[in-house]
Amino acid sequence: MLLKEALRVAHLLLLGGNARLYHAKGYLLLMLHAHLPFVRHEGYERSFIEENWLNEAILETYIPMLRVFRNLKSENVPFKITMSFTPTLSLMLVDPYLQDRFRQYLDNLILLAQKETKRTVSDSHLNHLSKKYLDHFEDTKQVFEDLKGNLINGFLPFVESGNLEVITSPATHAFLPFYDSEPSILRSQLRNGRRTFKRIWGREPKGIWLSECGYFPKLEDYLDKEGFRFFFVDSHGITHATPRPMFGVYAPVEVGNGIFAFGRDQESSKQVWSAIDGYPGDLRYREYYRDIGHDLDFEYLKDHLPSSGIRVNTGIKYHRITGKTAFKEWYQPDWAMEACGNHASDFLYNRARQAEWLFKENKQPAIIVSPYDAELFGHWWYEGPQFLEFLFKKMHFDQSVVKPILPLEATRVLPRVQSVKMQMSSWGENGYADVWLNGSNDWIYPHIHALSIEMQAYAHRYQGAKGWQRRVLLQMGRELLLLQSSDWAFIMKTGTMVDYAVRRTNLHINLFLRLKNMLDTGTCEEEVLDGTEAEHNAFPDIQVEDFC
Amino acid sequence: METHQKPPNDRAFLVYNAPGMQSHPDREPRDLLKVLVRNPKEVLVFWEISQQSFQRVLQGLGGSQPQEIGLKLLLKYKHSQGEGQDWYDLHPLSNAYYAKFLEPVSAVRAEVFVTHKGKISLFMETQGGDLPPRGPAKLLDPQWIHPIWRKEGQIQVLADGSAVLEKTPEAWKEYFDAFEGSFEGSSPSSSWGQR
Repeated sequence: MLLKEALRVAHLLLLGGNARLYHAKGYLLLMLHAHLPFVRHEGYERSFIEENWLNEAILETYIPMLRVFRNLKSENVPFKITMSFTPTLSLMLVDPYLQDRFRQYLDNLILLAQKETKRTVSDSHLNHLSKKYLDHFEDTKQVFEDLKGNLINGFLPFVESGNLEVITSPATHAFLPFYDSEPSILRSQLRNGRRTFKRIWGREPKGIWLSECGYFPKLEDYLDKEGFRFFFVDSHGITHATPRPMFGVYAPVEVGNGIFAFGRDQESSKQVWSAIDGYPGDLRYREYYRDIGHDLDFEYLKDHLPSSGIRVNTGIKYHRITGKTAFKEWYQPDWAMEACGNHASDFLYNRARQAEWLFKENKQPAIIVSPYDAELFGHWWYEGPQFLEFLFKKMHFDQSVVKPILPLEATRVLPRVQSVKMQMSSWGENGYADVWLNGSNDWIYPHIHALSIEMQAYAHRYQGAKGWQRRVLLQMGRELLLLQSSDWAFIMKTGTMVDYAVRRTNLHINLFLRLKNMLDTGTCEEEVLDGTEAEHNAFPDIQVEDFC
Repeated sequence: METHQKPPNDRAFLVYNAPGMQSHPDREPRDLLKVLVRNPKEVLVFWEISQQSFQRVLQGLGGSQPQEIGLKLLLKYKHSQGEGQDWYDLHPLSNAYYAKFLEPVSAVRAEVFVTHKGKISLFMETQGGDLPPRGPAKLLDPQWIHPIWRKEGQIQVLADGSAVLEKTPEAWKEYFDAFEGSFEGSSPSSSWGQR
């Protein structure tokens, strides 16, 4: 037994796993998926409130996440985290128009917070909270301007130091299992996903976050052609594979072409995701649904609301969850921080216990994969970024059973990786495609398939086209990619903001048809082409060949 | 970048202000038949028939009025006992059907037929995919058999030399065999779905 163990250690060292990695009984692969659909609406008198999705995410998630990384780095905590930045999000983060929109959004919030410090002067607790918000907004402005509005530059140092692995996704977050019969959709989504990422992040992505974790057999052939080496699936993507994986989701599997799949650990997911007993539901945490944008007098707020005059969340929230009652108590930041520390301890304790049990059973370290939507941390769960900071600090200072790890390191730390064949799966409700295919949204798929077939035919017919015909063809490609975003189907299913998703879907189809008509009639509608290119300026380096 | 952007205020065409751009698309149908896998028990089959094809089929069957035409959908598939097929009579104006299966099936194929006064003609066919399994595989890789599976005597070696796992050890179920499918996966990314 001792000899066997010694051989295994030697094997690990030969494989590149260093001694420090080997000494852990388990590794936490924390994966945050950062995504927003392309919501850029330049040139309108009445602003689109959907642009606030990006503003809110920058304010509440992306910049707080940067602060966490900086804090960890300054304290020499060796954190490791994987983040997917989808191409649509990356495009928006470097877009000068949207950067200016964020400046306007933040300046408006600073004015509102200043007003709040005066309004609340007679209530010491509320006044304290309003000043905290003002500090937070002003510090956010400082961080944003230090980076000249480009958050990518804030994340890159952590990529270069090896603390952060960034990966991409399909170009517009298309749900790929629906397009297994249309290779041109798969190619154009994957190629533009990789190309956009490389242009913006200055490096090739080693892995990809499959939109909604949507996998289907043979997808690995397309991933291989685009140079991706790993991706993530939900638990049953791994556990239902054939032959049955020996270590379940606690080791990556090879699915063909040397591509690795990582499966979600359910226990750690549940502790954060669960609507019933997940950490974010703790009564001491900030209540998301009580916001002064809805609570205060309209006259007081009106100068700070969008030009359409409708009430929106401002991000200034004074209540804590309190309980399942309409009555909400004031938010107590100290109580929330205490809860956050306890939850980080609990999460780590459970991972350590889990890792020890799995190590005993498997005789090799467990790779515990915990993927979450990045926007859960900070936007939905206000204290989420602080939870992550506590977690990494505790992981480093308080124990040595579990260590953080990045995906390709995980494949090296294990003695060998099993090869399997996986079947279709996703991480949506019920684990398959029900969310993106049902009576509320199934009408979009005949359009997507029909237009994609048309696009492929036109890409062949006009492959060598120049001038306006080439511009038209490329814009047809952009409209098609934007149409394929899984977000529209998701919103239609959730039942809120449906109007926007339907309008976006119709718009991209109609623009595609209008552009196609230009090619059919040999007539360039210059104003239409100019306007569409300017408004839907995603994927500037798209290629006709992507659709062939 | 091959786009030629003008400053926003100079743009004569703003896509959301242009008439008709947000209306439901009025698109010429084309010949199209697809099978989308929804879950282990269900697929969506949808189809479009172009005007020219419809007329050609109508004439081929000796019909003159579109309302005389009927549609039938045939799904062929493989299951644990062999091969199966199901016929569905469809409304002539229908363009999609959610088909359900009682057991896991693979190699689903769809065929759409046009009928007219007792005559039937194959119109379109397509190859679909496999429905995903409803649980963990029993088949094991002989090189990857966990000692605990052997220890608990749950391995059965078949005549062809392959090994199958009859039952997951109880202590393992929490970590190795579970899929509750109730995380609601992707959370909305912003103010979606709120208020």
